[in-house]
Parts: sequence; structure tokens; C-alpha cells
Amino acid sequence: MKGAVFKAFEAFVEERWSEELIDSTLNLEGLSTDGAYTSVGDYPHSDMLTMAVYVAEETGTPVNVLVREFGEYLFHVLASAHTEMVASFSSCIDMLSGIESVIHRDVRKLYSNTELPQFDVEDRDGDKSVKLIYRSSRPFADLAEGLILGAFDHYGVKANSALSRYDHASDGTHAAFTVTVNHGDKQVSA
Amino acid sequence: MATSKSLHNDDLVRLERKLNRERRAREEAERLLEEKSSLLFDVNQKLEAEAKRARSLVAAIQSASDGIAITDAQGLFVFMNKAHAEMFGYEVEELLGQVWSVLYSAKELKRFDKQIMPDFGRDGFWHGETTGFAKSGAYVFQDIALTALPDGGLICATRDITKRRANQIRARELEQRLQKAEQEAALFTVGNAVAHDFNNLIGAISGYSVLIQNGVDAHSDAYKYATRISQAADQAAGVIRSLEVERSNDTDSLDEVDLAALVQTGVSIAEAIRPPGIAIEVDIPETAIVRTNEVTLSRSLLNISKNAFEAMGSEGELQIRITQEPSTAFDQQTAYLSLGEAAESYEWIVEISDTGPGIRQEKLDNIFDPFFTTKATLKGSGLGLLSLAALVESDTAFVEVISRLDYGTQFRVSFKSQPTEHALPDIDQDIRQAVPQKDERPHILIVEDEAMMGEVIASTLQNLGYTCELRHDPRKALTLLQDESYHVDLLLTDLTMPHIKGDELTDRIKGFRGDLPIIIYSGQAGFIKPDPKYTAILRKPIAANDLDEAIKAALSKA
Repeated sequence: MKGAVFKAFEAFVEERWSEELIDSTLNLEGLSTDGAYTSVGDYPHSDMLTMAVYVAEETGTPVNVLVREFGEYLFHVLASAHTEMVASFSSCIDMLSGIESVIHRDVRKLYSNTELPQFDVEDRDGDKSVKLIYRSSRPFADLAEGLILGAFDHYGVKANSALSRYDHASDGTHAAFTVTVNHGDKQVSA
Repeated sequence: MATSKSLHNDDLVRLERKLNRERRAREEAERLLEEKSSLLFDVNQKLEAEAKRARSLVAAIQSASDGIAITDAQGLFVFMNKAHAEMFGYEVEELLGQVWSVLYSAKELKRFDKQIMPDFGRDGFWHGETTGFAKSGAYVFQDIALTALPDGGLICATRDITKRRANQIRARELEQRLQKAEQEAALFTVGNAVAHDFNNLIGAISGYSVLIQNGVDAHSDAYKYATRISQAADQAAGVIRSLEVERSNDTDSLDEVDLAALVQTGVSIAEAIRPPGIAIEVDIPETAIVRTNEVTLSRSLLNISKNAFEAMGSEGELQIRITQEPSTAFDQQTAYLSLGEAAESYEWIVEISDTGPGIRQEKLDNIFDPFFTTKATLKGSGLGLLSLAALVESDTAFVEVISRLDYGTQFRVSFKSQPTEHALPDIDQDIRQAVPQKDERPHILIVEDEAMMGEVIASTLQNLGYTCELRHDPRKALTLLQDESYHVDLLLTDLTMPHIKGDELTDRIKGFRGDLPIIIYSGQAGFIKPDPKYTAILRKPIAANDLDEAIKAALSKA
């Protein structure tokens, strides 16, 4: 998993709860680098799971909710770091449809050996709807869901959008997301 | 205060941990950066090496003598080297972006549609010959290889075979001319053989009729009839002369000929008639320019090759060599024959050697005899070798046949550096000279293998007031002349005779009786090359008056 995701998690916990919580989280036993992460590195996804479970317990938040909320936060972090790329999409549906073909292609240019989840596009209907099939060797369907919600927020369509999820696997490695954006009577660029 | 201090300590501890984490993270980031930098350097090195290889490849393709072009899936040229563009008379820039079909005629494009592209589509490859269309409108004969590319385009490698095609056409034309010349030569030889025999008969008729006229009363019926017989014989001689086959100009003209190219063409023809067990070895320079008649030389070389194949039978080796120094392989010869006049130096020499059984001297002596095929039985001596005689007529070549029994035979045609010229004897002027008065009647030795012809000439000479002696066998005439006590004023000889031909007899006699006037005659006066060794050359049938004048002129010079 990319170091940038770990750095975003650090900031997420510190912003949402406290400096003390992230400090104790990074001090957990068993983390691969004793809690020292850099955004250009690659780290085991088990580190993320260890930290998420710990933070959920400490804050009394269900793990899936915590991870989904982190997903929303992560989208904003990534969008502000890559404004040009996000601006190249015409709408929310357009951006979600381009995760695999545009975003991941560019990520691979920088990190050729990185392992990325797969987002296949199925049944896209213009800017109205799209069905995304998530597949990964890691159990982060919740993170994917949070990222989609972050996109809704970024494009300002949260209020008139719907997201349905169907889990093909119980461990969060394979899920289908159906995204619908209701533009109402007028054509809204979403 | 205690709480405040405790909090402060916790903050410090936390801060210290955070600092430690940040330091480790920075060190990790630096390590990753170095790793990435090193990786980038390696990749860059590899890329540079790849780029260099690609540049070399492009340079090689650009400078290749074969044309190379690449089209995209729409058939538009996206790459082309200079050779490809130049083959069609264009600049590369003019063709890039153009569809490949602009280089072909509508007719050839139909062939592409129906034959080439379906095969290419099925196999992903096509190789063959096509005819392109140059910018100038001229045809471009191409050998072409098409290979499909994964993107739907194709790569085309092509070679201009216009020159090769022109050579093929030229070889075909030469072959046709050779065939025609061969037919003409056969007709010429057979026609003249018939003329020769008829001339002998007519000569006898004419001669006897004159003898009858001389022996009877000029007012008698017999005289009148003999006159008519004589007139009819003269007319018959004229008819025979008009029937004689003339050789076409195709075999008369002398040109600058590339011996190497000619031999190469000849070999490709000889290959077609070569028995399977016989190999042809060729050793020739790139070019060897000589002055000769192309058709005659081609015929000669081809006929020598044919004869060699016949001589070798089922297996052997035919060696064809163009050189400036004769080979020594046949130095231990057992038979030798030459044709034409030798020169001090030669421009080029063609040697055709076989590994056949060799030819015995007595048979070799006759192979250039025009009537040999009608008189003798030597196997394999076709009419074709006569073309060698035609080759030396222009005095640009010297022909030798060198044979060694159980080893092989070599034909050597040596081309002279400078053609030489012979002064032709002015017979007419000689004839006009006054005939000297002699106390004794001049004695003439006649050498003629045909009995009837000899008798007619002898009777005619006697009637003209000469004494004469007739020998049918030239060897006996030679023996007679070798006797120093034998007195003779003039030798009259036929050209074509068994054992010793008239020209050779002349050469031999000149060796010991250099001053003896010699008159030679033949049915085909053209076969006798004018030479100072002959006092006069006559053509059969010989009229009594002509014979008398020639003899008187010859004796006056003696």
C-alpha cells in the first residue's frame, strides 16, 4: 500500500480525534517501520488494518465506518494533490469511470511495480450512472466506497446521488458499486 | 502545577517520538529517492543504448540498396527509405502519407486485388514479382516481399529487377537470333554443298562441249549442238550461283561485345541442354570487351559446348574460362588444329575445355571442313563448328583446337588486340599484263580429286596449248613436287579435297618451291581467303578463256 495513504491516515486521525491518538496508534507493536511512513514508500496493508482496528476500538467507531470515512477524507487529499488530473474529467461519473483507464495508468507511470485495486466499468449511462466492479487482493471495499462518497462531495452531487453496493465477497475484496447521479430537469455538469 | 508539568513531559515524550518517526521517515524517503535515482539512471542507459541501436537500424535501412517501406492500416506510407522512393523516381517526402496504390497501374492493382492481397491476407506474407509504375510513367519491375504488421499495416521490401528483366529479354532475343543463324548456317552449308557438286558436273558438261566444238567443223550440226550444250551449261551455272544462300548481315557486322556477359548468357542456355551428369564450371571476369560478331561467337561457343556434351557422354565437366593468359592444362597435346592467323598478343582468350575422350589428329584436321559432314563419318562434328570459321574471317580472332587423348579437348578462341588487314591480290590487273612468249609449252600440274572434273580441265589445258599432268590425290602431287628434277611451271589445284586441302597443299609446297605460281579454285570462291600465296583464285565452273587468261597472267609474273 502506498505511503501517501498512510500519511493521509495519520492526518485523518489527528484531525478527527487527537495528536495523542495518532501517536499511540503509530506506537503500536508490530508495525513494519515502527510507525515511520513516508509518502514515496510502500508498506504492508496489514499495517493499515492494525491501525484502523486500534483507532476504531479507541474511538468506539465500527471499523467499516472508520475506513469508509477515511476513504472520503483520502479522496480530498488526493484530489488536492492532483488537481490537474481531477480537472481533466468532465463530471463525477466521468471521473469514477476513468479510475482504471486514466488514474491508475498514471499511477503506474510513477510506481511501475505497485499493486493497485481494479475498477472495471460496467453499464455506464453518460453522466447519469455507472456500475463499477471493485477487485483487490486486499479487503478494502469500504475504502473504495468512502472514496466514491468523497467524489460525490468533491463534485457537489452528494445530495442528489445514490450509491448502492453489492458484496461479491464477504472479506471486502470484490464488490459492485452502482452510482446514480440525478441531474433533475436541467443538465448539470456533475 | 504537577499536572501541568506532567502534561508538558507527555508532550515532550510524544514530540520526541514524532521527531524520531519523522527522522526515520526522512531517511527512508532519501533511501527510496537514491534507489529511484539509480533505477532511473539504469533505465536511461538502457534507453540510450536502445535508441543508438534504433538509430543504427534506421541508418542501415536508409542506406540499404533494397527499397523498404512501411504502411499503416489504411495503406498510407508512414516510412520509406531513399532506395524505395528512387526506384519509382520520387523523393521520399513526395510519397510519405500517400497510399501505396499510387505506385501501380490499374492492371497491376487488379492483380493485387484478385491474387496478391488475398494470399497476403491469409498468410500474412507474400513474395513475388510485380510491375510498378514510376513517376516518369516507365515500368518498374520489382521483386517484392510483403509482411503484415500487428497494427494492420505492412512492411514492404523490394528490389528493382528491371535490369535483370532486360537481361532476360536480351538473352531471349539472342537465343532467337542464334536459332535463326543456326538455321541459316545449315541452309548455307547444305546449299553450297549441293552447288559445289553441281558445279563440278556443269564444269564437266561445259568442258566437254568446248572439247567437242574444238574437234568438229564449226559449220557442222555437232558444233551447233555442242554450242547449245555449252550455253545451257553456262545458264545452269548462273542458276546455281543465284541459288547459293547468302549469309545474313546479322553475322557480318563487328561490334564491341562484352565477352563476359555473352558467355554468361551462353552458359544459361547451355545449362538447359546439359546432361545431368555433366557439370559446367565458369571462371570469367566482370567484363571483357572484344570486337567480334556477337551472334557468330554465341553460336560458336554454344556449338562447342554441345559438341563437348556429346563427346563426354553421360558425365564429365565443361570448363569455360575467359583469361588473358592461355592455360597450360593441354600442353601435353596429342592433336592440334588452328584456324585463322595467330597474333603476337591477345586482348582476351576464351577457353572451353571438356573431359571427353579427345580427338585424333586425322579427325581433328577435318572438323572445319564445310563438306566434312557429307564425306566423312566422324561423330559429333556438326555443321555448327563452321561458325568458328566465320569467326576468323574478319581476322579479329584466332581459333585453336587442342586435344589430348583420354584427357579432353580444348577450344581456344583468342581475340586479337589490333585487327590486321591483308592486301588483296589485284587479279584483274595481273590478267591485263602481256603474256610472255616462251619457246617451250608451259607445263601445268593439276590436282583435282573429282576424276571427271580433272579430265575436263586437263583436256581444256591441252587444247589451250599447255602440257599438263593430273593428280587426284594431293599427297601424290606433293610427292611429285618434292622431286627436284620434276619440272613444272604452274600448279592448278582444287580447294576441297580429302587428305590435304588445297590451301594446306599450297602452304606445304611454298615451303620448298616458293616461286611456283599456284592457282586455286573452288565451287565457293568465298571460302578461299585472298592471300599472296595464291597467284589467282578461280571459281568453278571455270570457262576456258578465264582459265587461259589466269594462267597466262600467272606465268608472266613468274
